[in-house]
Amino acid sequence: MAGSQLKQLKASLKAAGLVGQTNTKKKGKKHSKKTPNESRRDDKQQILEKIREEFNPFDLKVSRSKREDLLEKKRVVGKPGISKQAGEENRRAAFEAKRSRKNKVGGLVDRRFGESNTQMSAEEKMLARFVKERQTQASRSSVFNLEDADDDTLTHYGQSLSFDETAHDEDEDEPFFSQKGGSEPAEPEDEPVGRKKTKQEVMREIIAKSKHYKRERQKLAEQTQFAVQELDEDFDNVMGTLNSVPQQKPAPATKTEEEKKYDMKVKQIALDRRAAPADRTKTEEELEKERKERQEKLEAERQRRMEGEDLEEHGGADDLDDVWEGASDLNEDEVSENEEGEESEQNEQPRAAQEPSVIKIGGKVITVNSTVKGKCPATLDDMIEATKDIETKDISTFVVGVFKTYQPKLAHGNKEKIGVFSRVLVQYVLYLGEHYDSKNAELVDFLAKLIKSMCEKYPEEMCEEFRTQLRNVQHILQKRDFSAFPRQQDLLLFTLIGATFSTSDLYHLVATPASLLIGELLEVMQINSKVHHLFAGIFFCDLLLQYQRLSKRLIPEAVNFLERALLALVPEPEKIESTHLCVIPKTTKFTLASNTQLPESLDPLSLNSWKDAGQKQLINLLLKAVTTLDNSLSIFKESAAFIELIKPFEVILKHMVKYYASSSVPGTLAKVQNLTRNAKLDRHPLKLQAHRAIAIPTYLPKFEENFNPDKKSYDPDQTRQEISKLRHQIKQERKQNLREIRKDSQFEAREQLKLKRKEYEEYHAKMARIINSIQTEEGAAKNEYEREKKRRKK
Amino acid sequence: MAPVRRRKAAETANEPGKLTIERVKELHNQIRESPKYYNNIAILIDEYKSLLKEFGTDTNEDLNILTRFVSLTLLKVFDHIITTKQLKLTSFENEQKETVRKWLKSKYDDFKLCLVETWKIDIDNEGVYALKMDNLDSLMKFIKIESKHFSSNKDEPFFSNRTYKLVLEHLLITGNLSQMLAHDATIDNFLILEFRESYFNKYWDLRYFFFSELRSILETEHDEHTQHLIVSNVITVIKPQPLYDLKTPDQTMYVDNPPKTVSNMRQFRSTFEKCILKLMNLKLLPEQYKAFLLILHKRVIPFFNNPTKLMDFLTDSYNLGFNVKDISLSILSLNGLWELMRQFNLEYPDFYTKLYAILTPELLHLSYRSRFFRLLDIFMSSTHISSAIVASFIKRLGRLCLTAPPAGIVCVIPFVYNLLKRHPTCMLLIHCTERETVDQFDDKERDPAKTNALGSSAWELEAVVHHYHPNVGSLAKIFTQPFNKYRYNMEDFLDWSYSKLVDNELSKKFKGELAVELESWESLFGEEGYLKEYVY
Repeated sequence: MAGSQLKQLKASLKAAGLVGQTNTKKKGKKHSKKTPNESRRDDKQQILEKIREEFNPFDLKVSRSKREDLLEKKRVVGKPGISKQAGEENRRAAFEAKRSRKNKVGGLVDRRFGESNTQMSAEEKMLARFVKERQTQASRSSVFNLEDADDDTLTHYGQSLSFDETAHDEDEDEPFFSQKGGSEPAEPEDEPVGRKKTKQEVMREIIAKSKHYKRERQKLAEQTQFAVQELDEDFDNVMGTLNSVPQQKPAPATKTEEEKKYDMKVKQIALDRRAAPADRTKTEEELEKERKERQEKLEAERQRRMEGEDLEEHGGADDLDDVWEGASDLNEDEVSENEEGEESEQNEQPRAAQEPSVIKIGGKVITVNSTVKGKCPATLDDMIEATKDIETKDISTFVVGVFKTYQPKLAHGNKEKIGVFSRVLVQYVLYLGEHYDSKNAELVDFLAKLIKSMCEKYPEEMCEEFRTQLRNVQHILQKRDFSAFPRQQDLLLFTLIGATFSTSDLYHLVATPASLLIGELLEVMQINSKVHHLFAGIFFCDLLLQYQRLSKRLIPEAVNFLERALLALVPEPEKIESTHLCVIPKTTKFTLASNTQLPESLDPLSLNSWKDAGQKQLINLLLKAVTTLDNSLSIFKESAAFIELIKPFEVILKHMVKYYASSSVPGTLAKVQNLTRNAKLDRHPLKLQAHRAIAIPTYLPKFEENFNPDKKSYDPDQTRQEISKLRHQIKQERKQNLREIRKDSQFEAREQLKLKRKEYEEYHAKMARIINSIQTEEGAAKNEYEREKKRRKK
Repeated sequence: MAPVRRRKAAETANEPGKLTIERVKELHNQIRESPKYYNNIAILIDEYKSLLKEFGTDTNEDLNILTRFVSLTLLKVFDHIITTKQLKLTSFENEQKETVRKWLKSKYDDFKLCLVETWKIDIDNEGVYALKMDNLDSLMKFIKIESKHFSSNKDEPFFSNRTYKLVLEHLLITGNLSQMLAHDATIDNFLILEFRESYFNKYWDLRYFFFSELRSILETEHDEHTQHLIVSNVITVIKPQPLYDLKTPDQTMYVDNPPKTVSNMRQFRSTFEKCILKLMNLKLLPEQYKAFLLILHKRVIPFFNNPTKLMDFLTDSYNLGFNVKDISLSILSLNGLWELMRQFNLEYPDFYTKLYAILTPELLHLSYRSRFFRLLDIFMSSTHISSAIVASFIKRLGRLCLTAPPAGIVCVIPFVYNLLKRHPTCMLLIHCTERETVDQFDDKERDPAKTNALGSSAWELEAVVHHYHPNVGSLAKIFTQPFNKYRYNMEDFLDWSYSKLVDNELSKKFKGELAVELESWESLFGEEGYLKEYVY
């Protein structure tokens, strides 16, 4: 097409047959083209639309794709202008609707008291509402002073909501009345304030009505009361007449003894419990089997704990690794101290059980008849105070008595008391250990067993108690006051821990810190100057061996200590070749003379004589150290570094054999040498890094054989494909919605601005008008004044 | 300068009545009024001396207050006299004035002596402490005044060395060796601490002259005890902070116009150098010896003109450590040696052999181990060390772990990991597929290059996996896992101790389970007991 826009328009109009000659007929074509005049009117409109569109190319937007040749059919044509306008109109409609509703149609205003106040507790809210309710009542009664305010209670279906008992009674008498009485006075409050006269009238009416009802009610009540009184008075008369009539009752109770017995029997039988089939008595074998199974189960659990599998399950293994790196972020949440529930129970006298009870401790059944008077000991001092008058052998009876008196089922709070008492027992055992007396041996053993069973029942308390004791030891250790440790009770404490807890666990809340503390003790022992340090050290080595008898873990401190201990005792230590030793051998206070002889066998060492530095004791200690070494071979031989571990000991033993050829030393040496030989044969180079080969990730792009640009995804996994599709959709939707929301808010802002501007203009116009009129008036007045003035002057 | 005390009976010069504060005030006022009352000075000084004597017998509040008042008054008097230049020597003077001046001068010296003498009072008492502190402050004030007014000309720079020397002479022998703290040989001496905080650390000229005076003090003969005291006090003074900032020396002066020489850093360094060398050549206590080694690389070497002068001392002490089998000495001197090597290119023969010799079993038990590991980390960081040496170190460290406390093992494991990462050849130690022969490691060989450690395996490190402490065990497991981590940060592992580990364990939360021993025993001790070989 050529020519100006106007010419083009004309041409197209003409081509459409809208202007110019309309009735010309084209040759060879019969009504092929209908003119608008010939067809319906709508056609004309449509054609006009089309022409308009053609002449406004900016209304159309065609999306252009980069792969046009492939996607021709998918060309999208849109009309942004029109769709924009449509959107605008929609928004305007919505906006207008919203604006017209504004301040007219209300929402719900929550006027309830404290409903949205998060600071108040439920109880406080209730209280506040109650107060409010009472206040409204009070004020109401003063405003509409009815004679009796009692009637103005809130009701619900005739039931009073107030707490007033008397009102409640009245309601029961006249159940329907109070409903009316209650609800009616409440109504006038809602009356608008504007119509004063009518309200007063209404009020008067209501008051009159209520007074009327009240009077009637009172009358009714009086009547009822009167009737009841009358009935009461007549009662005797009626009864008298009734009694005078002879009764046809069977003869009164003249039962014989036999009959009575029979009756009793019948009653008893009726009350008897139905016999339930008893559990079958199990045979010995079955019991044995059960016990075995339980034992096996426990053993399997212990095995798991030893391997540390529990930890891995709970993600504990990661924690272990993190310990070193985040050394500072400990103690984040403190263990909540268990409150000792002893507030009100202090004065409460326990109800003692009457029948003798049976308590089972460590497989031993103890029957106790006695109960204990007085308080459950809550501190060590209480305990010492309570037991000072009791003979040693009766203390166990006393302790059992306490447990019996304060059985948790007997009274509330007993559980806590027994928990505290168990803690006291631990302290008491340690106290006994410090002030040791051979009479106490049995008691200590008894209490040790008791503590063990308590650990099963009160794990938290006992754990806390043992850890407190460990902390005490740690504090003493930190002071590095060598005369203050080890205390005799420490020996007992660590033994008690070993006998009570499962020390073979990889990680144990009590056993692990205990082992660490023993390790520290072994490190700082002054064995060259203090004989009881030497004794305690060897004791602790034995104890650690006992701790690790199942798990067989390596304890470097014990290895080091044993070597030091042996070197401190062996005769003529300077002669030992020192290249393989950890400590340089030196003659010490306790070095034995070269002519001493070791006894054949060793009697048990006495803990009480640990400060004995006599020659005999030293010989015993040396022999004990050798025995301990012998015992620890079982742990050493599990280690991969057995040869390195045992080397110094081998040297020392070889040296010792020269002096003690006729004791257990040569036997130990032979064992050591034998084991070393075997270990050397068994030794293979380490292969710690024999891991499965790890695939190296490749980054070459994958070539797709049948590539189709229409296909969005080549993911072979159907579900994943679905998911990504959905994800894509969500993303699109989200974008769209966001766009809409943005447009909405822009529109709203625009409209508001417009409104504001309009208001502003209106206001100014109004003001201008007013000022104008005032000025005119002023001018007129002024003129008049002038005129008047002129006139007066005349 | 030996203290000469002229004893005059105080009572004869004064009326026998008790000295009171009013009386002191009166005497003071008279002195201020006119020079004819100058005899009052002598009275006051004598009074002061007699008061000090009383301190030995009894101490009460009043006596204390009075004594301090008298000393304060005397301070004021002499302050006045000095500022009015009555002590100053002028060329044209009549004889009478000269006599007065000489007399005043002798009194003044006497008083100063009195003040320093008080430091010898050996009574533990708040009052005595306060008195001693007062006297330190007074003496320092005299130094300031003297330096201002005793110069030959007005505006001529001057520093009152004589008084300063007097002060130092007495100050450095205060304190009690029993108060010496064993770990760093500093002394818990409040006078020295006060001197350090209020004067020494604040003013450069005091620091400068401190060492020049110290040098002359050290030239005189002292008995061994005094020597130890002086050394400990000097260590206490110089330990907490460097003498001056090497980049921007701070030049706050105590006296108004100090001699020019104080800004001569070269001069200062050479004096300092001589002092320290002299101190080191004294007969030191073992703690002091270690303390010197401890502070050497940070507090001493940077302020030497010629730090190589310390070389002999350091190499000697390094070797001494091996000879007396106290490797802590070697570890400490290693720090200083490293500083010399780094900055002054000190050549040290057989360095790695010596380093290897430090790895004795006691190393991991020492408290200096973290210090050593920091240094070792530096020495082993070179990738040019032969793998044989590195392997020897790994093997040796592994062996130490077998007898070490957990805190020591915790240092070694990540360190070895880093070494393995840096020297992949050494992975042979933990993973070897070819060889099936015997262990070729020679643990008696002293030279790490010849131990043949690469022909061995680190079984010791595998043994640590079964350590009784679960965290140590799991840490050791890193050798069995793929070496994915670039390196471990050693600082996380160096400063562990038993107490930290135990605290860590005891702070773990109770999670509702407490495993109890399955076996049960009839008793704790004896036959049938938990521990069979012990009885009560």
